[in-house]
Amino acid sequence: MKNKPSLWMRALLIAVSLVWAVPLLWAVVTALKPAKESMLLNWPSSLTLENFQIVFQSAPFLQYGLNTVLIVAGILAIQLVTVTLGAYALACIDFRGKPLAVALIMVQIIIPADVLILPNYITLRQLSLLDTLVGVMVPFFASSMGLLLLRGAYKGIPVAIADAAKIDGANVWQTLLHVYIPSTRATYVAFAICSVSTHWNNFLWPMIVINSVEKRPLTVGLSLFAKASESGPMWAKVTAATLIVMLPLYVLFCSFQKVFVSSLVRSGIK
Amino acid sequence: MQALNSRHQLKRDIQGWAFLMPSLVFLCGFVLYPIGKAIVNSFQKVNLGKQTFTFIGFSNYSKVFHDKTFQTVLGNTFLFALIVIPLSMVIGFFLASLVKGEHRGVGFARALIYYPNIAPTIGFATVWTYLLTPTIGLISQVSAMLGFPAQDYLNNPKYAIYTIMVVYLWREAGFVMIFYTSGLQNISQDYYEAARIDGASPWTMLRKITLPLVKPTTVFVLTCTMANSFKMVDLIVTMTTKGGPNNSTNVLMYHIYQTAFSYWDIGQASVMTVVMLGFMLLVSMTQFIGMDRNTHYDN
Repeated sequence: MKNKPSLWMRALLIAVSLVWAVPLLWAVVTALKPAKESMLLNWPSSLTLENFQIVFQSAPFLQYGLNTVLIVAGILAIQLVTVTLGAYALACIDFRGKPLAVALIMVQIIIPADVLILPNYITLRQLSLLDTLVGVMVPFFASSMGLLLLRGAYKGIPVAIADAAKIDGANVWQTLLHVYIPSTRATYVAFAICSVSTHWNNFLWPMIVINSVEKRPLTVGLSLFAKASESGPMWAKVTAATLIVMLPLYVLFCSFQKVFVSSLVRSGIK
Repeated sequence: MQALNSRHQLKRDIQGWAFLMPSLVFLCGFVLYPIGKAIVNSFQKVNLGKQTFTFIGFSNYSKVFHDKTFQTVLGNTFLFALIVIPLSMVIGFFLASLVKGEHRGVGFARALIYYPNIAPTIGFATVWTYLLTPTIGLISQVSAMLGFPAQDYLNNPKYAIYTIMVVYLWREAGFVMIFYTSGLQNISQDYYEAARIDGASPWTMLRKITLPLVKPTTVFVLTCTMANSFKMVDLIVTMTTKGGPNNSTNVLMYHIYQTAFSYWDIGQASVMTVVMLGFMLLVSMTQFIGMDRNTHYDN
């Protein structure tokens, strides 16, 4: 009895999920309807992929998608390096001034870069990085959350294992590569999912930094696409575009959701 | 021997700081330096084109704090936070207790509730705008069928901000849910078993077992939801016309954006950024206070 949910719990769960899913279901139905029916509350007379086709023709969504992938992958790649090195120092090296380093790192936990759009914009301007993808990425290359998460994970590895590697003649890099990184894979997955979904959906910062059409990420492209099409018959296009933007990440989440939740447990985000 | 020790220590010092250097360079450049810069700019008259920075004392501060719009904006920001933070946590906890198991269909339910956090908010905020369109939107049509008068929820200054809150909760509750799911799964079933044998009611079990044991999650989630509520700006950009009608949905983060990038008043926008930094400090204090209580609890 303790593991099987009661019948009314199940009914409640179904009801809640359905309520949450209303915008998604509506978007799917509207995107698959012929555009002229999109304002009617009917079951579509026929299903069509026409709207998706129109979206790809009328806006460079593939280009936007490529930009977003570049931004997300660029940020994650550099974060993985900075975070791995930093976490190793914090967890495994006994150096003087560590409390100062931790204090500096805590500042980013307290004050996220999203709040500092104005001074960071001025900095990018002085570095001539405005209207570049690097400009969108650069404030996020260091991640305090990643540092603290991995530091915790590294500390959980028994010192004996690291010592054994040392006795076998492994240097710092080999120990990192063959002991620390493989045994904290779950934490890396959790961190990567958090990072990717944050930056995939970031909107305000790229909107401020990017001017050129061909450098826009998906979110900015989508918002301008939606702004340009406020009248009813355009609903079909915008919902289709939304689903296109959402699909890759959603597939990723659905295939990893069990790993994600359980790695949160293990990594101590909880 | 001592010389050897201190040589080793020096080597460790260099190694430690060298490994942290990549992180610290970016943290200093894009977190510490801009904090200082915002504070300095808040006392200046800034012309970005000519790159002139003139010191003008507290004049930006007095202008901002005497501005009627700014007062409205602060009020909205607090109203939003006060309603949205507790509600998102309660709903998220409730959802988590529904999906914490691993039986059939739960993964599907999680995906259906969590998707607003993965889907582009811009897209779904637009979808919500369509759903809320008077007369022809789904919500109007359904409420008309049920016999309720249709309302223009987004363009009525009385309802607009609450409408934004509903959409925000639709997203944020799933975010909270994921963390509580993880936290709840961490609690051993043995506690409940023992409590059941002792004849504890579900309410007692919630109060005496579940809530104390998910306390670290609660502190973490509280900090996140507070920060998120102050940072929220994408729904305002997408669903309203510049924080309207009549600034009834204008919040601090959006007002910073507006002042900096539409009016190009860097000085006043910096003052608002400093106010925002103050809020963020306040948020982080809740975490420290929460942790402090936690350690007491452990004793």
